[in-house]
Amino acid sequence: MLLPLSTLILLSSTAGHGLEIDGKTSLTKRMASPVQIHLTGTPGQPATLLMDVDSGPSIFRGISVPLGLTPALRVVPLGLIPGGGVLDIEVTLPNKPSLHNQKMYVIAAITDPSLPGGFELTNTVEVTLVDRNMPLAGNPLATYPSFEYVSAFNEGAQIGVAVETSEYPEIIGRTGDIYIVNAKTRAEWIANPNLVDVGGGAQTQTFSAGPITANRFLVNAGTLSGDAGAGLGVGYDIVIDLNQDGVLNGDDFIDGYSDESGLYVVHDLTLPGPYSVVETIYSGGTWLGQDTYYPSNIGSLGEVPLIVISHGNGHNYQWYDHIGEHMASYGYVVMSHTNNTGPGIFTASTTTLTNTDYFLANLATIDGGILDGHIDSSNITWLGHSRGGEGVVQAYDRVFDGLYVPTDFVIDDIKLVSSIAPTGFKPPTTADPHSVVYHVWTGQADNDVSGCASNTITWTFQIHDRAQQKRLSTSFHGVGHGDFHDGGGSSVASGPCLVGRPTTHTLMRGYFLPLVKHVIEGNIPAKDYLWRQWESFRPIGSPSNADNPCIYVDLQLRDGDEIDRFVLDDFQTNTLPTMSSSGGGVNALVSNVAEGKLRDTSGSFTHSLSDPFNGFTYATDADIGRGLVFDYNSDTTLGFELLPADQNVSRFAYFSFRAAQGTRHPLTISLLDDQIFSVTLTDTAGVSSTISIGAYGGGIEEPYQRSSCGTGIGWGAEFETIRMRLSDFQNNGSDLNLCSIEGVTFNFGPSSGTSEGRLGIDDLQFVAE
Amino acid sequence: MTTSSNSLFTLGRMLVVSLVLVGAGTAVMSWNNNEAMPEVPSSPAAFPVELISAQVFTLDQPYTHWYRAEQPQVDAGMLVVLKVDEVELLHPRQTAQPVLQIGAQTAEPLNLGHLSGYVIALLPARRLDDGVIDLDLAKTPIFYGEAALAEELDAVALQNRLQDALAQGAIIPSAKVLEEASGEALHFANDYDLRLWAADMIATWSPYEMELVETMRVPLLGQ
Repeated sequence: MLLPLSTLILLSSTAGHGLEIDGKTSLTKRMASPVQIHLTGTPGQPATLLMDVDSGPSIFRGISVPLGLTPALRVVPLGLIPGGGVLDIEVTLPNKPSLHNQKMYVIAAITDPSLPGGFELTNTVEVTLVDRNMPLAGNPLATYPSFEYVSAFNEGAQIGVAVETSEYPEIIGRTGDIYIVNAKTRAEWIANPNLVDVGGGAQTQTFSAGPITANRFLVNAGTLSGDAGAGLGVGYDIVIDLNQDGVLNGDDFIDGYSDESGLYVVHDLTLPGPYSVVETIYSGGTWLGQDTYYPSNIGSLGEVPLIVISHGNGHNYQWYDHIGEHMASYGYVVMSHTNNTGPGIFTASTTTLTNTDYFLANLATIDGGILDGHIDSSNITWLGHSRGGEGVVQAYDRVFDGLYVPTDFVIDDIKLVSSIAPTGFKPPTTADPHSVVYHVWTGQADNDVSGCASNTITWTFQIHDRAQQKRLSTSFHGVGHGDFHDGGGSSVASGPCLVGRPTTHTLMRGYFLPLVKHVIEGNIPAKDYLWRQWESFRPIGSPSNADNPCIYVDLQLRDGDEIDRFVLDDFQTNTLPTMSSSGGGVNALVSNVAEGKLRDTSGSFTHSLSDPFNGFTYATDADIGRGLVFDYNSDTTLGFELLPADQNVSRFAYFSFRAAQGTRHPLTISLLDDQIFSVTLTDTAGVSSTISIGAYGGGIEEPYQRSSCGTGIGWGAEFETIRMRLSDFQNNGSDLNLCSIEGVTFNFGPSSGTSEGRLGIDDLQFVAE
Repeated sequence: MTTSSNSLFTLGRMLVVSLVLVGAGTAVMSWNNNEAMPEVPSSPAAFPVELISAQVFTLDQPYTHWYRAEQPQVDAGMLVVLKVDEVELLHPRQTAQPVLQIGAQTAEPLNLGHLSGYVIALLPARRLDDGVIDLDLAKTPIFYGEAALAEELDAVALQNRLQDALAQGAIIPSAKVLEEASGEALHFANDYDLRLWAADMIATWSPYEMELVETMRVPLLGQ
């Protein structure tokens, strides 16, 4: 109800009357949500709520008003202030698509004839309105938080829906029809809000108060198609139609009211894509031999991204059919070239550069010019193997430093650099990925670039840890150096339970496709494959440890500044173990704590108390990567304080960190299993919520059981990333306030999971979706 | 390409030798199935490198010799066939490898050789004013120096490595060896053609590396 402004506001100055909405003076709420108005004022006087999109101030009848008084001004009568001087009333926020992301400034005007203006104004409350878009689709979990909201589902997998009623109390006691519909963009939803279920019929459910387990439902048994052609993921939206009218309207719930779908069903990423592939081999002269793969229908595909492969020493540029064929079948052009690795890394980097230039400069000639006009040279991926893996990094560094000036591309065209078992000859000054998205593959059975502590040239992770922004890694147990190419011959592998070349290639296809899709195309479901625990989620055709007891895959993904993040502790500054890099206190009750460079200093993997970072091969003397190591054999904790300025983490989606087991340590050897522990978030009101990392499946993997490189068994420490959705900590009405988190505590010991262990930890950060 | 009149004889000799090598190569084929990466031999210069053939080459267009820090331009040198019994010196690896040197100069190996024991290599040399190349094998030992990245070795380092090699026992080819090894001079327009020629030699002396040979024979774009 809108009333003439002049009849409602006889303005006076703002005084002691107070206004809160949902107990806050600044909040973000979905449109059509109910909110609790808490207003203090003179008993018996009428009050009115005023909302505007502009905070003013404006002058109205000679008095300053903390609103813009724009045409969008909304006026809501609240009735009389009760006798106690406190008015608590629920109102429903407006619901118009045009208000999405709109900040509303809200004040109350309370009649007070004793004042000169006749009214008194309260403080301003800022409410940011957002679409009614919320996570609904996911998987049930056996333990708290009892449900995980995810983007990607493998084709054939069950799909669940859950509502946390403490977050959405308006749904309690109501019955709604749950629809799975073909994904629509936000604009398409506005144009056509009709609901058409594609999952076998809408499912009617009644929502009740209680834990999330009371409101989680299986909504599809795995019947949805994931056939996205050359894409990755078929999008679907989930709608809970609370007024059961077959239309998205009112306060219906929806997951997918945006250009991002509510969920994606993904086909088997290890299988070829829809396009047939042409392979062509030619030479531009010495060190310009090229083997190029492209989709046969390239002429109808517009401009497609380019992937350049730079082989390793003693390898051959025609040994990457498993990558070239696979990626070209999904619409990429892949060029593998002769790589001058014999002299060293600089020369390899030169051939990466000259071949990329040559390819782009000769599109009119290669295969009769069929590629001409069809290469998106602004989206280039460099993939290098061993010496070539380091070479692609030096190539990037040379262009970055202006030491090589390409003729047909620029530095920003290189979007992704991926290294397979890269060597580490060059120091950070010449082999630095800088801010490019960087990814590394490691075979833990590699018997060439082995990772042994005795030779830093074989430390595959050092370049990864130099990457300043987004960085990822994929580590396979049982995979040798030769398994990454298809040239036949030896796997160049040492260690137990060897995986072999065919399975390695299946693993590579299933990972590289989503890696490129995510980085190059911004594909949303692809990201899930890059960090979710392999034990619980992986490409359909990729074997699990249950399928093949030799298969262990450890993944790292650290987001960079491309998305909003707050680094709680990366151990790079404030180098005492008692203070985090963000300046908060660190309370380490765990044992044998050491903060320092992630560098094995003993030259072997033999356990030694004098080498606290034994097995960590992430930083050479010239590098700066640091972390924290410790051990435990009873219940204990490691706590990180958030400074007041950092305590509002409500804008983030995940708490993320990486952890690795310390190799050959007695407390690692004693169990040799995934390490499980829990994480507690505590707010300034003392409310806390705890989730075990094991709830999501898997844990921190034990080291590959390979001998040599000193005494004992166990290879290098392998970091794995754990990402925990912050809203999960609020399940079951935990009352945890994400606007004021004062501490993150890791809980170790038998009460929290594994009874004992030795761990390294790093890169604690809060990140947005 | 131009060669002297005894080229057919030389090629015929190479083919005969290659037939013999098929059997000899089998003895070292075990590398292909060996999961272990052999250690780099210590004191690599102590292991003999036998000169099998040597042909002077000259080019119209120089190429970059990437195997040393100075990256000189090269338009002459020798194309040699070497026999290396200690094949661990040749085993391809990503970490540092022994570097083939001729005196205080690096050579460019054109094949791996670890399966056959034969390495075909380019020995760069300066072309003197009188057209003779500045490389006298009668005065220069051929050896594998300590493992390194060749691209990082400069003149000073190479001279030091030569002294180390001599101390380890690196030897200079005898006059008899040189006489038997010397072949006809070669002249090409550029190093691409030189390498095409060398590809045939790899096929002859190291037949396990036909995949490499075929990649060297890939036709030029547009031809």
